[in-house]
Amino acid sequence: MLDVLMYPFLACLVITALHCYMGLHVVKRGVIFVDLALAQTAALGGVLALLLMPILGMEAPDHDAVAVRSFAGFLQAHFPYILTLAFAFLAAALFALSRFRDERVPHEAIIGIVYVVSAALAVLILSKAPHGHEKMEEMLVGNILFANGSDVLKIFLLYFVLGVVHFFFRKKFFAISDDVKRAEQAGMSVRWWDFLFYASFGLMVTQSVGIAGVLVVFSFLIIPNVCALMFFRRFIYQLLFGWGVSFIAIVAGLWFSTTGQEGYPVGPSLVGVFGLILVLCVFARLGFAKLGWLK
Amino acid sequence: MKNKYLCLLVIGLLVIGLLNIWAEEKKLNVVTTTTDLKSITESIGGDFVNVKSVCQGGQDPHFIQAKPVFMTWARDADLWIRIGRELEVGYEAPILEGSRNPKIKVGETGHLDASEHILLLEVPTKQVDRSMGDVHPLGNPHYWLDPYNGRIIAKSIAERLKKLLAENAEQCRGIDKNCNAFIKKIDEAMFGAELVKEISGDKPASSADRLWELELAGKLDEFITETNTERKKQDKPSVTLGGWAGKMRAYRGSKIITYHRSLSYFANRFGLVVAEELEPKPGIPPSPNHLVAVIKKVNEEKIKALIMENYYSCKAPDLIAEKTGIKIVVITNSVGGDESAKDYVSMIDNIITKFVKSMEK
Repeated sequence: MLDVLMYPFLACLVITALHCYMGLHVVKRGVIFVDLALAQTAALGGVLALLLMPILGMEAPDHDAVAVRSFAGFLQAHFPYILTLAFAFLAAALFALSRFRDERVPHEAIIGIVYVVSAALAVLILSKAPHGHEKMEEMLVGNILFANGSDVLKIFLLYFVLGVVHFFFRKKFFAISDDVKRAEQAGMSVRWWDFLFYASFGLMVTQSVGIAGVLVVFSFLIIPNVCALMFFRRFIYQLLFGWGVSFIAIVAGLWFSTTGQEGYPVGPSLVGVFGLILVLCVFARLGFAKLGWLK
Repeated sequence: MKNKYLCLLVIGLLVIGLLNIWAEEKKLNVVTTTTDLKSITESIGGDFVNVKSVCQGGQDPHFIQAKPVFMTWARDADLWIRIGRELEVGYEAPILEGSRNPKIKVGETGHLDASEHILLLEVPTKQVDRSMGDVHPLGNPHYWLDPYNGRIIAKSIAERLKKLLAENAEQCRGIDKNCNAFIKKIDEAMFGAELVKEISGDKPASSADRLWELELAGKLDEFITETNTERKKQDKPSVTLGGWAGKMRAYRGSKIITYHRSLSYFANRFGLVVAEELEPKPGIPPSPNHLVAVIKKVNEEKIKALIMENYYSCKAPDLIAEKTGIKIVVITNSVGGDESAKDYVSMIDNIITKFVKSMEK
């Protein structure tokens, strides 16, 4: 059983390493559903590629043997992915631009609108381009159990690069996430940094959602951080605590999916365990408050 | 004295236990993708096989929720059986890959594609593109709903099991016996026991191949008329076509509506005509325009029955029934999909019974 779950386990570790950190920003900014919106917009790009390829006279990419010799060949082989990323960046730009200075329209409203509209557009396109139905389902539901070695390597390399970028500019990102007004007064280009943040976020979630699905990715992003915020104020403690919580949830969730005669689907098992841990944290927090251990 | 008995008892139990373990070891582990393949494999493999199915009955076999246990089943499997024709394209490869079991790789003796020798319908003759809908380029994969194909699947499975059990002549004989019994069960259900007996005469009724040949050639009625003329001369009572074929005789040429393109084989075997599908193209949910067109067609052509699998939503069919009075026949196309579909034969029997009942109303 362990060898079956090795790649899913490694994939979870790689995903949680970056998602836990990004989730802190997301929670601080109050843009909880940004991952759903970005993933759905990216999925719309992928669906659009399915529709456009026959029109542009492209063959569907053959994943087993892609002869990439020329730039055109490369473009054709990776057309769906290129379009997926283009749409993710488009959404990132939209989120960066749609932040109103005086918060007349809550940012979360824009994110929700982008989500529903791109979901509806995808369905409209799919009504003309079948087979995409499975593609989109795959993108949104994902299946962490089917993660293989090359998936893990791919996300590890990408997340490593993104992690380095974020480590390098951590002061800028945190300044904006913590207090956007102050950052603006200090003369930072908030729009540009916002775009960079959402673009990197889009790069991250399109990959993780494709492997693990929306439910699991959302849990990795949000739940450990909500747990951490209850106990700690300093960023570094929050991050460490979040990683610890995620690790426990991954081990427990994967273990649970193998219990009983038939076992359970992996993704929902992980999400369920995350939820359970959150409930335990809430009780712990209440207990500590009673004892006066927390200020 | 007491100790002696106790010793004997313990030794006896040990021997029985060891025999059990030895007997267990002799069993082949088979993993099938669907419950129908599981049912047929169990009928044929009998005591020589342990069979597990990846899909549960009543699930849409195009999609599954993957559980780690599937990989461990596949790892311990001696034989993996799939429906094929790209039905399992979404999950078969990752499960086989994750199992790291070299025995059941595609192309090995431990990997059987049940569609190898079947009567195949709807193989696209030109390039498939997405504008046609979710068309399977290798032909329609819902072929197990034709009992003729059920026999062929049984034979393929029997051949493969014998290959894997080649060292044990007794087990191979057992497989042959089970396979013949299973095929006879299908034949009797299809044509009625009376007719099967008539054609096989005093020979053990192991096979009514001739009846199937006649059925495929469309000459079954002629044959029965001829037989009865002969019997009349000998003052014997006449024989009638019984079974599924007999029940469905009255409805030859009836038009039906289906939800998905999944009843082609069933309709083809029993002479029904699929006039329209609720999905405008395979795999695409019904759209309002299409529903209006279907309603119009049902009213114009006086179509009486809409057959749909129980995993689809009833909303669109209910709407059509309300507007036209068409009878909705909710069936299961897989063993275990509802309580009475206990095995392959009763699953087909259920579809026929439900259809006939709704037509008689």
